[in-house]
Amino acid sequence: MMNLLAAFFPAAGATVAGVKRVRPRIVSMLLAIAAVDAALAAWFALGTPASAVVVFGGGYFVADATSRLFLLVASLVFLGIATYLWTRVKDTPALREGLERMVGFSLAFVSAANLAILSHHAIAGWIFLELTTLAAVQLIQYHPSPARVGAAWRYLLFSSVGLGLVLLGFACLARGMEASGQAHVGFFLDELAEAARQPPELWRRIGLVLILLGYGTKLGLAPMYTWLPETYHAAPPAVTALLGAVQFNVALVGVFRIVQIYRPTDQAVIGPELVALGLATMAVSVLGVIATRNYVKLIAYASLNHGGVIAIGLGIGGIAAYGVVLYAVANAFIKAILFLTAGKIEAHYRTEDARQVTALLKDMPYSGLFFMVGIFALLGFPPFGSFLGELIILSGLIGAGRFVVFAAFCSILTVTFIATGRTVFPMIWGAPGDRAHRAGQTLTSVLPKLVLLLALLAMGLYLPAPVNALFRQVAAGLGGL
Amino acid sequence: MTFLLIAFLIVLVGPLFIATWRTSLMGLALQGVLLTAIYLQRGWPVTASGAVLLLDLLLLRTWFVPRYLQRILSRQSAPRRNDVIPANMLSWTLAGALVFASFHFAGLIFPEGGVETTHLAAATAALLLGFLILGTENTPFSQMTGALRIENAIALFELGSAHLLPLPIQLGVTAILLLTVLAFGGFLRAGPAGVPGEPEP
Repeated sequence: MMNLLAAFFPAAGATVAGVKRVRPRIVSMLLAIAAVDAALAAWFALGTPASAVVVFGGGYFVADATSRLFLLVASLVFLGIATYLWTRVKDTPALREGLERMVGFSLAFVSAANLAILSHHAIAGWIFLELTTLAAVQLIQYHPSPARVGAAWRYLLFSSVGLGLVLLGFACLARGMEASGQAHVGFFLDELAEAARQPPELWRRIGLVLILLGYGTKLGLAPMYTWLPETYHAAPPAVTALLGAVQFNVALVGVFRIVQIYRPTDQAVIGPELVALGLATMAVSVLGVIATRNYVKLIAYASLNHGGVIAIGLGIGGIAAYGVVLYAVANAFIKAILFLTAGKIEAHYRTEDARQVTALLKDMPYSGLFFMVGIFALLGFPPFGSFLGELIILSGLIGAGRFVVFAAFCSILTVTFIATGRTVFPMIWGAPGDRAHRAGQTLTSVLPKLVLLLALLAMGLYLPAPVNALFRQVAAGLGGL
Repeated sequence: MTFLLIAFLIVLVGPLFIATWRTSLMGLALQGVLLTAIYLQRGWPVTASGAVLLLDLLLLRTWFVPRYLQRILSRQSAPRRNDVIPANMLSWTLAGALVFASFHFAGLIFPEGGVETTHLAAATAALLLGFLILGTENTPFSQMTGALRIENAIALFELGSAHLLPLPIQLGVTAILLLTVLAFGGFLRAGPAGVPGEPEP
């Protein structure tokens, strides 16, 4: 019951967000809800053995290692975002205008995300992911400008088509079950696992290809990735962090479920498709990173790269599975830190042009530090979790004898490193410009990002046993050794 | 059944050549009618889930979606002409080739032929033509039409299977379609200035 409470708690907040008496304290309410949600998720994740599996809510929801880990990640990121909004509104009271709409849709978004993560029915998970999309469409258009409305429209269109492909994929799986003579066709995860034991056949293969392609759209994987840089760039920073760090992981849980069930019998379909999508995505992302001088877009293109790395690791499986889980969680924290920090930088300098921002460490010591460390983590420097995750995925590639993929992977990462450094390092260490002035920043305003940063460091240096047990359990489900 | 599927194909292809938004919406409504008729070939639904699916096909896809979009466009006095695909021989040939490829694909999957082949061919053609519209048009209304055609293609494909979704899931799927269409309407109401056809520099 506590599991459902963690998911529904933000929904209760969403329903009262528009109430007139709540409006003056709307951001404080958001922060309180996010804090309680994070506490519930932490209790939910760490208070039970990693291997425990509890099905509840009439069989429609499941508390297993995957749902517990990603519920914790989503709620921690949401707490960071809520604190960011709280400090931004405190610093700039004018932002309070129309904020109840953003708070209401944010809470609806997070509630749907939590339910999607907990779903034990594949199509129920799809429905909740669609609900996050519909809430996000409203969030992207917060204080609408032509760029934001255009980005929201393309986001909705790509999402509708991508998730439509997922639904079509499920329909193909149903055809496959009928073709193999199953008396009952169902989409509860244990029913899918039962069906997966039948010999592979054509409809199932077509279904898996479509499902991975469709979920790939939400992960920003090529070929349907073009919505991502534009949307991440146009949306308000808090919304971009929600999309990049929460919704990305919700879609990833959908992919994890499919890989967990079908890897043993259909690796011949899943592996090559994910590796191909991953490599193509890394290739297009590096072109974007080279071409842009906009630091928000640069982080967006780097996010594409991360999606590619995760897809390749998932496609390989084996020891890479643990690296994928580590990398995916680290990736959520990195994106949250970087997009929220970029929002602060943009608010201070009033530009997204990297060439207009210099001496960040002097002007904005805290934000400069977070941006610098976030970029290091983004580029896969030690000692962060992303470094360890990438290293394990690389060893997985070597172990699987995928030397061509390994070479392409390393080459793209090297070019990404050089191109990112060329744009970002002058922002951090460049000479102070004429318009430079020091921004006042309190420690409380950076505390949540500090917590995310510490979590990122812990993933590279030392993971507490209960957390590591969750990571291992999720990796084992993905076919990890 | 075969007659209904052939009618569905005609309704799919016809509006591509008659470039008005009313024809596009009429096409969507007729697709809804034919989907309902195909569904009712199994007989009247005897479960709650089946009844929700019937309402989805008959009320939502046949009546609400075209009517809702039509009212928005009428209020805006939208120009009569609206190309679903570019009006040139290349696009029309491509559309024809996609229909041909759909039948070829269905023939490979079901070499024995029959209703199953026609059903799969019609669903595949609907899907590919939806993608053709999305790939060649950049106005919001045309893109909506493409996305809704894809939704109908998925519904047609699902009707080829005997199983029904559990009631909460069927309700969820129908609600998502309704909310998506309402979101589409929001963008259509914003007008051409609200939704730029091309990305900003």
